[in-house]
Amino acid sequence: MSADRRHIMEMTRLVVTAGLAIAIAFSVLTYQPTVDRAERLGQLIKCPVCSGESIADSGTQLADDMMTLVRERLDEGATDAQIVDEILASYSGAVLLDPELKGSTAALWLIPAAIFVGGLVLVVNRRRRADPVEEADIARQRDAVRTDLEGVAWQRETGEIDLDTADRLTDLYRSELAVLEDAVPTGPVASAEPPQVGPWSRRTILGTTMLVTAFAAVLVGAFIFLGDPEGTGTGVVDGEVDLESVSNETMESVIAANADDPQIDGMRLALAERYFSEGSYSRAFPHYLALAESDTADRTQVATSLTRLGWMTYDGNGEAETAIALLDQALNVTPGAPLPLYLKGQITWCGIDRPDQAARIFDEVLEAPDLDSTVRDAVEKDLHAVENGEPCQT
Amino acid sequence: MLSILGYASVAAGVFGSGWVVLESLMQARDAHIDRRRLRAPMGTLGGGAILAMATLVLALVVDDFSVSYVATNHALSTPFPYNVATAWAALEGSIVLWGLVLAGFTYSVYAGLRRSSDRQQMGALAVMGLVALFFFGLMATVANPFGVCVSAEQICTATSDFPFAASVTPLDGPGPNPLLQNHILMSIHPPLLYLGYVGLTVPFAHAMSALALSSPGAIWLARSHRSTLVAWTFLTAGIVFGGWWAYEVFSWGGYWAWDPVENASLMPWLVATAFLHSSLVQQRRNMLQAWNFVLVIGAFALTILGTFLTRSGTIQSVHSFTQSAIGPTILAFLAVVLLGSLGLFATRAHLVSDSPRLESFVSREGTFLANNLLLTVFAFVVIAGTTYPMILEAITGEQIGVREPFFNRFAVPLSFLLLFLMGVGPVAGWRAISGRVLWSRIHGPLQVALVTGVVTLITVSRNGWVVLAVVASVFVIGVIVRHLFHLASRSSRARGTAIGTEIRRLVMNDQRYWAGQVSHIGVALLALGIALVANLGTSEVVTLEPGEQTEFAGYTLLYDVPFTREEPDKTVEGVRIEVSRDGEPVTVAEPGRHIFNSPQPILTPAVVSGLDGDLYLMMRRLDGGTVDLQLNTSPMIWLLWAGGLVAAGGGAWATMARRWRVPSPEVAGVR
Amino acid sequence: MPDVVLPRARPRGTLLRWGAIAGLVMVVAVTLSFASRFGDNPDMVDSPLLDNPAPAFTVPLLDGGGDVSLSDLGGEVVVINFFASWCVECRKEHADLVATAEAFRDRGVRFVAISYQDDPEASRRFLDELGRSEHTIYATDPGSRTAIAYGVFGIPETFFIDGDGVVVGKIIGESNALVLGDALDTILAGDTYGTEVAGNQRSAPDED
Repeated sequence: MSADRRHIMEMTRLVVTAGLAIAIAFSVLTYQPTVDRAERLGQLIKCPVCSGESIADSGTQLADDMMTLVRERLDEGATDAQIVDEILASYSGAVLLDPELKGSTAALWLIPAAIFVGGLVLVVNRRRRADPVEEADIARQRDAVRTDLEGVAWQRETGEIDLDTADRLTDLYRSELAVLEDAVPTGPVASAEPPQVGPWSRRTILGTTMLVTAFAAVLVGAFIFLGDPEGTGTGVVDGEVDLESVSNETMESVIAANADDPQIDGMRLALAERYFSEGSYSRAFPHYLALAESDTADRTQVATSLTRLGWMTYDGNGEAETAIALLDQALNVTPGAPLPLYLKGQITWCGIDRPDQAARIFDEVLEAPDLDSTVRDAVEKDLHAVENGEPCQT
Repeated sequence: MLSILGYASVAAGVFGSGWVVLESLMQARDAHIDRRRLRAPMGTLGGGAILAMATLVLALVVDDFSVSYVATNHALSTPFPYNVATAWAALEGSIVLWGLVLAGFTYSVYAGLRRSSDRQQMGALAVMGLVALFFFGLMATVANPFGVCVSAEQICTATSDFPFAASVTPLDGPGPNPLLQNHILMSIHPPLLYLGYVGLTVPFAHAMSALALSSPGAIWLARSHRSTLVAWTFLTAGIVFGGWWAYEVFSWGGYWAWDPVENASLMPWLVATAFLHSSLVQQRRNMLQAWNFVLVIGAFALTILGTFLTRSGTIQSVHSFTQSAIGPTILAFLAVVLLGSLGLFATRAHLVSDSPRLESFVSREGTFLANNLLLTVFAFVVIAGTTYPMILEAITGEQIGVREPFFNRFAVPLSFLLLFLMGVGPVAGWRAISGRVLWSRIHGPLQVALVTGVVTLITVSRNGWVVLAVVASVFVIGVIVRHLFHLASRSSRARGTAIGTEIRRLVMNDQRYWAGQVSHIGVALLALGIALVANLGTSEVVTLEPGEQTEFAGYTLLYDVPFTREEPDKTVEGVRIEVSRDGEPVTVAEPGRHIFNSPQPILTPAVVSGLDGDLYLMMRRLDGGTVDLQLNTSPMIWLLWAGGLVAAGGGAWATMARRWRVPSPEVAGVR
Repeated sequence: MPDVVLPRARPRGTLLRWGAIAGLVMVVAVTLSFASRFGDNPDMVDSPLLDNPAPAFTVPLLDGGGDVSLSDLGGEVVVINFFASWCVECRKEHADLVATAEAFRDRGVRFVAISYQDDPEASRRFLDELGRSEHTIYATDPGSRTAIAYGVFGIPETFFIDGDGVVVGKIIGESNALVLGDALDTILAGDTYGTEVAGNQRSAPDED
């Protein structure tokens, strides 16, 4: 077959290939499938309750509802951006599957582009250089160049490369071979002895490694001992709450929500004491009552509650007998406790007007061991007043 | 008892790895190599690793709930293969598996001493030992599976890491995450992935040793090449099985969600693929040395990053484990690895020889270089997309979402470029090749591919991605097939033998090359499968009453009854759908939900597989008898699994092939 | 003549060295970014509603008899809680919600409980079983519009709106009286409470 004929066939083949490619490209590019705007928009929004699916693809209820919302908005004539903004206003940016291109997300596009360009630069800037370091390496490079020479010869023979390239490469390899055959190792001699690692680099490596390990150890230590995963709420007061900072309403609700929990008694007492000290007897009352009747409260708590109930009954309602009965109950629980006894004394003196009985009670109080000095003073003062027949002063 | 035994074996692992490190470092420093002195350290390490895994599996099989890992992850009702798989289903156990695989690869480096009894090999062993020391240390401290349960009612309520503490044996346990009990593929996925991840430690170790000792590149590459192949093969298979499992188990119909943890397996795969190709260039022509160092450091670092992302609890994901001290520890290790290796590289790379010898861009080396570049960009896209949201939130508090649309924007064009390179590269000559010759090798297959594209246009779809994928895949496969036949026919004419004999001879003489081509074919099929499923799949939601039927994608679906079924480890609530086609019954599908010990049921799809693809049914809602069914088609999805496995198979073949040696000029010129 | 030299020092080595140092710096930066997230709950998603006007809504009452709008409650501190009968965590927090609603009723706080993706009858039964507060408004949310407007990721979620109609707090997951009370105390004192993860959530009757 003549060269011309072959050439024409070659060109025909080329034209056919190009034609096919163009035909495919044309057909594909002019293909306009019906685009469901809602579907496309939905594919950009992540279903909040799925792991990465879009609301268009997910079958969950929330995804369906969100898609319905999207369709509704589209029917009303909203633009894609408006709908996305509406969803973003409710959910954070994490609900988008494709980050919007803006200042803070530019890095996502820039980093791959930078790597690509940087890599391209690195690749294009390669120059030929033979740089033997050790004797063993020179030998290896020499063998490699010899193989290359043989390879180029073969490639020339089989026509894989054209003659100009073959000549150029052969010259290149021959001169390299010459250089390598003359080359004297400029570095240390190979494997027999350990290579002399420069003192600077060895120290650098050691130092850097130690520094890095220390940094790592600090990091680990810091986060093991200081870091604490966000606590999950517990339904029960765990005793570590700083009661000072909690409001009355909060304590009320915690107590109401955990009424069955024995650990709540402490909080209940604290709240009742708060109400008592600010004078809100009516609020304090139900709590003291609950504690007094509780199976789980300890003796001190029950006694304190009964004592307070007693005082409030007298001070708030003026019912002295009931008050004394309550104080007696408190004294049953904690016999000889000074406070209920003292209050009983005061009520006996001022409430039912029995000074002689009151004096006896005050005496009993003074006999209590380890009595606080302020209480002792107050009791002695009252005792003195009673014995002198002075009118009630409380 | 088992806790103590298990912990003792972990301790043996720690001690053994430390011993290996010390012994091998000493021998490397003094250049006095004596394999025998490493026998005891290796035995301790290996024995500890094997015993730890065995003890864990034994504890699971005999239902010993006093062991803390068993108490928190196992249940009496877990059926047989899954109770063994529970050994690696949760955090601590998976680190035991990692340790075992690592001990195995360390042994392979130790065995390499027999042939290469020198300082570089010993240095590599030392680095393997250091990594093993970290992982066994992790097992012994923050990720201890061999603690004991210290208080229990029905199930264990509190555990202690101290194996000698007074233990209590609860009667039962909560069982593994129900997601992980649903399918047998779950059992295979993690071990395969780990063989891949851990295998990448070997080339890393060799590289570090070479850097420290100024040992030439050809040596460390040649010694680690087989391990790299093994690792790559298993990593590929692991990722394919992972996608397959996701598809079969999760009621979402997809196989890849660009989930951060899925990406964690893709990132090292991309870099490992680049490294695999790039190392061939260095072994052949002594170039790309710097690339290879950076790639191998990157691949290993990415496996650690992947481990970190999966286990630290810093991201929310299907795979996420609860937060503990493990996260900071692995992050610290990652930092040490990167800073140490990059530091070593920065200070020592110039001491290791490198003669860049790119004579022409139009050559095999040129395509490999382009391949490196594209895969590196791809890897960076995935790294950026996965980690950037976290970093941005840490710095500015702003939250963004990066998922499929973002990744596809880059992944698709990059993949097509890579496919093109896959077609052209293998037939480009080393050093240089004339454009005309190269064109002659690809023109024919290109024409065939274009014709196939036109046929696809007319008969299947005008969707651009589908057509392009068909053209690309046929092109890649066509080039390979044509090349093989061209070589075979030329040499059969020359020698006067039959073509078949020549094909066998060519393939057997250069198995690694043809194994690589098999992998390329696998990747081409995988790409085609992905394009078809993504663009031609359809989806519909139907509501049916019992007895009602519907038509979808050529199938007739008859809703029979809803049902509830008790199985030993779970309760299944589902619907029976009779599937038929053209009047012929195909199967009975039972999409539904599986309810295990935990109160959250797992929606389980029913997959009806056929030659033309899958029919995928999911039960969305069941209300009385009325069922909402989501129906999907996944056309030709088997191409994905088949292609992926063929790719891994090519890797396996290459691993088992005879050692590569410098070929004769005839063979050198041809490829 | 080809350009072949045998120098010891290699300019390209310098490029590699600086590249590696740049890599090191990046690694440190990235490590620190990751490390700063330890201790943060990954479930914590920022709500863009915080410190912004609360989305308006009009929803039908659960027990029938008309609608209720956010504007009807102007001036009060409004606590919106999304719940459902299929939500185990909502069961656990219910007593606390009722107790808090009762405790704070005299301080100008109004609770609105919105049933999310639930059969109204099932929600009613849930409330019948666990109790209602007279001072709480119970409503449904057809089409989940209100939930979407408030950016609900799962239930239970509780939102706090101050007297000026600005969203000042969000609690993710099952709450308790202490957390609710603390939030209300903060808000009644005039401060913003922010977002808090108090417990677990679920997103659907069948969770994947």
